[in-house]
Amino acid sequence: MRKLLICLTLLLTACGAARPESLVDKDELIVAIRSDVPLISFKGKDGSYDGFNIDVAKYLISRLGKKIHWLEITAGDQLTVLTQGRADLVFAHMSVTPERKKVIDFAGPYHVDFQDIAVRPADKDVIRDVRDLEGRKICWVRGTNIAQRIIDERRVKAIAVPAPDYNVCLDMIKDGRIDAISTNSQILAGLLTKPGVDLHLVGATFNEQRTAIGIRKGDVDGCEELNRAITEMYQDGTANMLLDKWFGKSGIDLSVVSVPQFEGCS
Amino acid sequence: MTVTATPSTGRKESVSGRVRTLAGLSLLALALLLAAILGGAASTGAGLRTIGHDAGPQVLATTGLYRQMSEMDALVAETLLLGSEYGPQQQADLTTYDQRRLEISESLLKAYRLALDNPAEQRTVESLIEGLGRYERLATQARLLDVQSKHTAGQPPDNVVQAYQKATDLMHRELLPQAYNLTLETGTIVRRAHVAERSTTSLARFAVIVTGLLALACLLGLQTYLTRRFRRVFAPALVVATVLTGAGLVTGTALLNRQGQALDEAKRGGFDAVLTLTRARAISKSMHGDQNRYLLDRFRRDTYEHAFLDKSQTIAAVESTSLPDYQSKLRADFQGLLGSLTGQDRERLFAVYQKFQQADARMRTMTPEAAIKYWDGELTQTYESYDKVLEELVRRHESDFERAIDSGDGALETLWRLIPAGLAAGALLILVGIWPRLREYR
Repeated sequence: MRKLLICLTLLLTACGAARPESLVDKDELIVAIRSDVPLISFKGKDGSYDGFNIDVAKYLISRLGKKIHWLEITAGDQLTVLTQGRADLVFAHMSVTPERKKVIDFAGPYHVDFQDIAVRPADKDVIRDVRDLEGRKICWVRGTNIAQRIIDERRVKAIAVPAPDYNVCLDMIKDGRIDAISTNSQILAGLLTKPGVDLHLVGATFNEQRTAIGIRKGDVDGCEELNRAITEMYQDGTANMLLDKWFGKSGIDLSVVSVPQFEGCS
Repeated sequence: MTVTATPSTGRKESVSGRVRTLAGLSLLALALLLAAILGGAASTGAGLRTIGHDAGPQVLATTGLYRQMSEMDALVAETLLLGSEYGPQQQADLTTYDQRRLEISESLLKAYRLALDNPAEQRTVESLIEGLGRYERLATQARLLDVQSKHTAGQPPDNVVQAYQKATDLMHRELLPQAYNLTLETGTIVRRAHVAERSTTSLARFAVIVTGLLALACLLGLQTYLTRRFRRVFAPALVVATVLTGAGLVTGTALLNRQGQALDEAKRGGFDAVLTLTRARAISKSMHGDQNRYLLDRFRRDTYEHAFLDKSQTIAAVESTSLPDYQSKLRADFQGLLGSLTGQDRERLFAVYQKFQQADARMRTMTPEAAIKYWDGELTQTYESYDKVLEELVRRHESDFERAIDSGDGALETLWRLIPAGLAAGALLILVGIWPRLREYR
């Protein structure tokens, strides 16, 4: 009889442990963010974080009934913080790619963005489309795939000029070393808010970018809960309100705000 | 559980009391065994009902929604692309359009029924109904402008294209994503029900073994006691009761096992496979529409080509930088939605998918007029033969699904009838077995 009881206890514990570790089991979540992207996620004057991604993260995680512990990362860390278990979620304006899906999973996307082009106001009548970049110099921030998406995927023969980050791109377009900067329209909108920047947004929406939340591989429960929260964010008008709050004056077309097509969780 | 014989002098009360206690324990253990079996059967039964009769089929119905809506939009694009000289074909397209519209209404009703206790999902269905109304208004406008323009086959005038852009944007940015998410969410409901019921079932199976062994132990204890106490070799009624209990334990465990297996088979081999394949089929339909829109709308050729590549990567992922690169690198070891296929199915599907991609590559090098003719003929044929293979695979997994559910249901019926009867007979026999002994003490 005692043996049977021991067996029963063992079986019950085995049942409890059969489920893989998930973010839904925690009370406080470590949320990895960047602090250098204007309008999207940046450090305010009082030292607290602010921006579109921050607001979205706060909303979604409060929907899950959890507390947030912010973790500041750089663009190069967005996958490793998850694979090494240092963060539970990554809100780094990451777009979904097959290569990234090999090592992490994605909840969402929570926003669908397009690639756009910023040019000097004087060039706004000559560069109106991605095809007009033929033979022109564009900024290529090392580590991003944006320039490659124009040159290889769109087969537009633009000249990629390497730069360490977007601030250098801004300097280069100012003194004429390059003709255009192209990236997610939201990131461009953020760059345009920097002091001393006078650029024109072309409004050439191409190459859909699905901005999603990075989560640990195999966390199906966490992914499903986040997707439910994203659906609610769109249905209760919060998504609309947040997009308008951060990008209402940026010139990005916000006439259609609708829940994005999810990647799926398994 | 061993009971030693005690001297009989003046201990009549305690002997009959012990017989009663042991018999009572045996009856209690039998009752617990029955409860465990019935509880297990009820829980797997609920699991089978969810996946086999309620949610499962409804999820499969909502997967149709995405494909039907993509097809609606593709048919509108086709009628615009075909000129006035294609009158009968345009008419046929419109008939198919109405047919899809009807199917969509049915799918939406099914989805709404499934979402009865999920308000977010209900809102999605409501928003789809509202959006479809808007879509039809915009599509009708485009169609009216197209008829008025009386153009021949090929790109329609710009005002027609602009009117169609509004309709197709609504479809692709608002409606299709919601339909897709609806399927994912209903899939979540089924997955969670399955996980919960599977753990209850394994617990029930364990409880059956424990209570069954307990009942057997009590019966053996009773037998041993009676043998020693009354110097009889055995009581036939108690032997039969023990055999019945053992049989109940074995068949109960076996049937619960079989039911659990049926549930797993239905979920994995049937439901999951059908869900993946119908998703792939729906996305492929929309790819065929992207080819059409690429020809129709010269302003957005880049966008539609990119959409086609994106969807190709979802279905069969191959590392590549552009559509021509993808088409040249496409090999049988692709990943993505169809990456889970194995063996002959994979080979067969890959052959037709590759032909479809090769035809697409050819179309994109042609002049607009030649491309439209090619799209209407050979390209559509390669798409259809690819779609046919997908459809066959879906059908096969659907029948696997139904077969698994049926075998689970069969196990359930036997359980409900035979085992309770056997165990009740066992309980009666225990009473019959101890009755003569107790009478000796009156």
